Amino acid sequence: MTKVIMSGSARVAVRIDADSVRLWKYGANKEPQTLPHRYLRLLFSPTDDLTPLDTDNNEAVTRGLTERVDLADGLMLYVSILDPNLSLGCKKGAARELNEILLSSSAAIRFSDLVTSALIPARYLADIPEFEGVSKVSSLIATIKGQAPALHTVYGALDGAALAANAQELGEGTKRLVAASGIPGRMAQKMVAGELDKLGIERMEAMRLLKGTPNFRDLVVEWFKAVGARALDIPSMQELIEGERDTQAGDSEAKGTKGTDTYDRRTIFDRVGKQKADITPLLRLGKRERAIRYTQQLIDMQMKYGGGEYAAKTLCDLSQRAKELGNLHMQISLAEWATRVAPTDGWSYCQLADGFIGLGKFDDAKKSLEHARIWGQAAYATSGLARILMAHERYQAALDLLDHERQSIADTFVWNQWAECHRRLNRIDDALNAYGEVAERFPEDRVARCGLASTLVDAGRIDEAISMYYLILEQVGSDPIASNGLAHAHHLQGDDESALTLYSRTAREHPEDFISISSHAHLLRILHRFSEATARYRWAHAQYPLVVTFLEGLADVAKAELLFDSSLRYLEQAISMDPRRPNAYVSRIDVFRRMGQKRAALNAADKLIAEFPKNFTAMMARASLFKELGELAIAVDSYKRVVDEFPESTEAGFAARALAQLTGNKKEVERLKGYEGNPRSQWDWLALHLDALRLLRIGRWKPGESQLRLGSEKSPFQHIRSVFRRSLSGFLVSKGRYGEALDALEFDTSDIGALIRLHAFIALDDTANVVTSKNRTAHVPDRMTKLRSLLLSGHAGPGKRDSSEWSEVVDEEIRQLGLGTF
Amino acid sequence: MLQRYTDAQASCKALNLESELARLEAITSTTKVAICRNLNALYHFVTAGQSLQISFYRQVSSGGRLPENNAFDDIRTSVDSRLFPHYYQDILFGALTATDAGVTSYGPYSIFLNDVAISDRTSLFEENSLVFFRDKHKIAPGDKVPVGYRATWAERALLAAAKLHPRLTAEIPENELASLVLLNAGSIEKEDFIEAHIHGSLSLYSVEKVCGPNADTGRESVMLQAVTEYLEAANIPLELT
Repeated sequence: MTKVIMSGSARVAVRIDADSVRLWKYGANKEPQTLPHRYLRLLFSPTDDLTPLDTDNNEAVTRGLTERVDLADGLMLYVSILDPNLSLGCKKGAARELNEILLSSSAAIRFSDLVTSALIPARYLADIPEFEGVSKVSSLIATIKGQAPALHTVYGALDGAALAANAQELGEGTKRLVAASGIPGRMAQKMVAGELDKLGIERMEAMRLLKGTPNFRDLVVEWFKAVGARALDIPSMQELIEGERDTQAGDSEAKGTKGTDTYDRRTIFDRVGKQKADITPLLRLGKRERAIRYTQQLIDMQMKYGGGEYAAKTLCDLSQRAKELGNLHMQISLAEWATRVAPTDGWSYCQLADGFIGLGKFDDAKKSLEHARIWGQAAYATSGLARILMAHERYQAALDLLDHERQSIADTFVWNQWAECHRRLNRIDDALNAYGEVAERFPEDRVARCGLASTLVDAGRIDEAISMYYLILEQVGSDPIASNGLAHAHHLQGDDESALTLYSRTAREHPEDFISISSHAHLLRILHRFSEATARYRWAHAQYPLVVTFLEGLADVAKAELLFDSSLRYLEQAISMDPRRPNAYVSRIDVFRRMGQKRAALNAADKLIAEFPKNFTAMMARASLFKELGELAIAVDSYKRVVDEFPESTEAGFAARALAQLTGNKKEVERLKGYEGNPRSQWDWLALHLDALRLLRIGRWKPGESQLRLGSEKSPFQHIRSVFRRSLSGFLVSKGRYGEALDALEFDTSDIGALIRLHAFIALDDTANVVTSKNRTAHVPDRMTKLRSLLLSGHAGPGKRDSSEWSEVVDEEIRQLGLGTF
Repeated sequence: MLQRYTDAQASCKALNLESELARLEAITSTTKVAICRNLNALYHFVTAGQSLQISFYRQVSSGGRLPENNAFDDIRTSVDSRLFPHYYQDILFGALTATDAGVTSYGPYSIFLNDVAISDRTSLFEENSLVFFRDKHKIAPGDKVPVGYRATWAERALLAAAKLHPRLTAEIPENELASLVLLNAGSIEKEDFIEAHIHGSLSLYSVEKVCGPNADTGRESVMLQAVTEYLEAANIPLELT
């Protein structure tokens, strides 16, 4: 009698005959491989009493297993392929116990159902006749529910949708397990825990992974994270890993036979690691040919000893490294290579799609995602499609897709992206609820909790966000996402030293985390610590010459130091490196504006629009420049088009309304209503600020001042409070309330603040402070020098000043903050 | 499209480039449409009596050619069917040029078309439509095709102005203006041109002139000699470089 059995890895179908075992690698469409029985390892263990076996015992167990299969018609076992020289197994006593269990449970569960209906997706079995007529997952669920107590753990890659659908009928513990099944990879893992053994199959499976893969550690950690090791009270995986390492270290004679040659497993493993380490700097420096040559040697060796599966894993690993190092073209090349080496490996297609999305090659990305879905990575495929939609700014479509798919895919990728979509749509309450739901459903997932914290920042609840970030870091230790988020929150609160410390520490602990490196340098620039910022960016650029962000950072620092030519040079370099990235184009507009070359800036904006027709910043800059050039009608028209194109942009609408007010277009003012409601996000506060400016411009001093005071005192965002304070002090100076103006500017270090102080001190006839302020403002940017000279020459002294100039300066300051031009 | 043209005028006025814009418009209003082919295709077109230039789709459906295995032909149908719903099979593609060459990466021989033969059935498009759809506007199935990027034959100068004004500089020379209209960069992805969409087929009677490289030796010279004779017979100038 022959029976069909499924391997624990859900990658190989196994049939046990009386004298041999036959294996099908699904998708490979090849003749089955025939092996002797000793290549089987028992996964269905009655105890966790695992000791290495000698060959005799192993064969004894296997013999008992096959006999039992013969005796109990329809009873199937859950096995995996065994490397006999490295295997663990059961003692004879355990085998006897197993036989008893098999006998007692034969009526309780038909593993054939489990195997044929659930462990192998039906589409992979089309060319294996033995799998015809499979039963459905629902029958499996029913069977499991009625199982004998002896059956303690069943593990398999069950069909996610069906099991989730049936989860309602299961107990709370089972539901939790089902919920925890969002393991990356299509091989959705479901567990039904029994009473007797908390370890069971998972521990053995972990061992198998430890044995079987070069990147065993990552796999095991990932796997246990996904199934919620803590919730299951499974002992630390680290102990298992370390224990297994010791075993491997002591087993120096271990030999493998997978692939085309025998090999010393440890030696090969070490060699792969070393070669990967050699390839990494080549990827970092963009030395393509040498990187490919070295990779070819590595893959040749792996194909010889380990086969395509391991080679593909290595290539995916390297592909991911290339991405982390900013080398997107190599990311794609390596991932493509992986798909050639292992055409049925879904993860390789995921990597490939990721690279294509990064480069904006969305058609190619979609094809790769289709392949990924076919080869078992449905969650990633869905998530990738959503990323493509989001790249097209079709957030609602992405949300609809994810909302639909998340019901059937218990995967953190999909759920987190679903929550993120709400955030991108600026639906803060929905985003908070969504992230909360994800965090509750996947309690071990730090991405969800970081997303929740980040959304709290958006909502202006910075204290809560900081508490949450600290909690996450306490639980997971060092984590770049949480650390960077925490640093950003500190910065928004005005605690820049804490932010710098955090960024610096994160960059030290995670040397390839670009966000912490660039955020650190960015903050140094904001704090006017230019030489440190430049040194930081230069170091990063030398280390990662393919990462454009650092060049853009250098340009920003040069711009802040008024070294405009250098800034433009860096930006040209950045544009030539990555012409499809708009950031450098945008910065170029800003540099020209600061140089006072409004026409050159307008031309730069036009060029940006020609390349990126829907670029919000470029359209706003164009409108703003026309305003500065005195072409108000064109400016208003341009703003209106921004409003039409980006209806959700508050500041565009307010800018248009302010301009319409200036041009006397009352009808338009009426159409574009003012800010209403309680400000929460940064955008809300800016809208309030704009509305205050509008009120001041039309002579409604009291409500305007009141709004400015509200923002300068109540906004949770330190930099926005500064914006309000500067505007308030400008207004107070214009009203001759110099003392109040100086109070409002306390701690302000900006150029505009210094100019306002200068103004006030002149009016107060405070000679000493006038001299100090004069020195302080000696190097204000070009566009402010005119105002400074006007102030100093007395032509624009108190009572003579044209308030629109102040407004213009304030507008400029807001623009410098990167919050839009108007 | 007129909105974009107005924007171009506003920008050029602000930048004191109004005269350059006017010169660009003047040059573009005299541009021709050129279709580029290799010598083999030109030879068959010119020498085969009543042969017609027909669209890519007509060629494929007639069994006369195969789609190429490249990124363009892969998405060609989806793009063209959005631009020309239900009649994309009837569209021939060319490029607007102010020089003696079309987009030579499609073939070194530029077949210039008579205005009178095409002006009533040709519209112009911002750039290579595949690049426009795939890269610049990322248009997905179901999305609307953005307006403002097409022009009639008579308004081709306005389209050129709307598209090219950011590249104008003060006192830009004539030859640079011409290369703004059509930039031959050696590969299909890098070239920049205003795409001409011609409805229907073209016969030899639609051809105004042919420009391309000379061939002195071998099989190509024989073919070129034949092309020369046939064009002479049809009274169509052949300008060899």
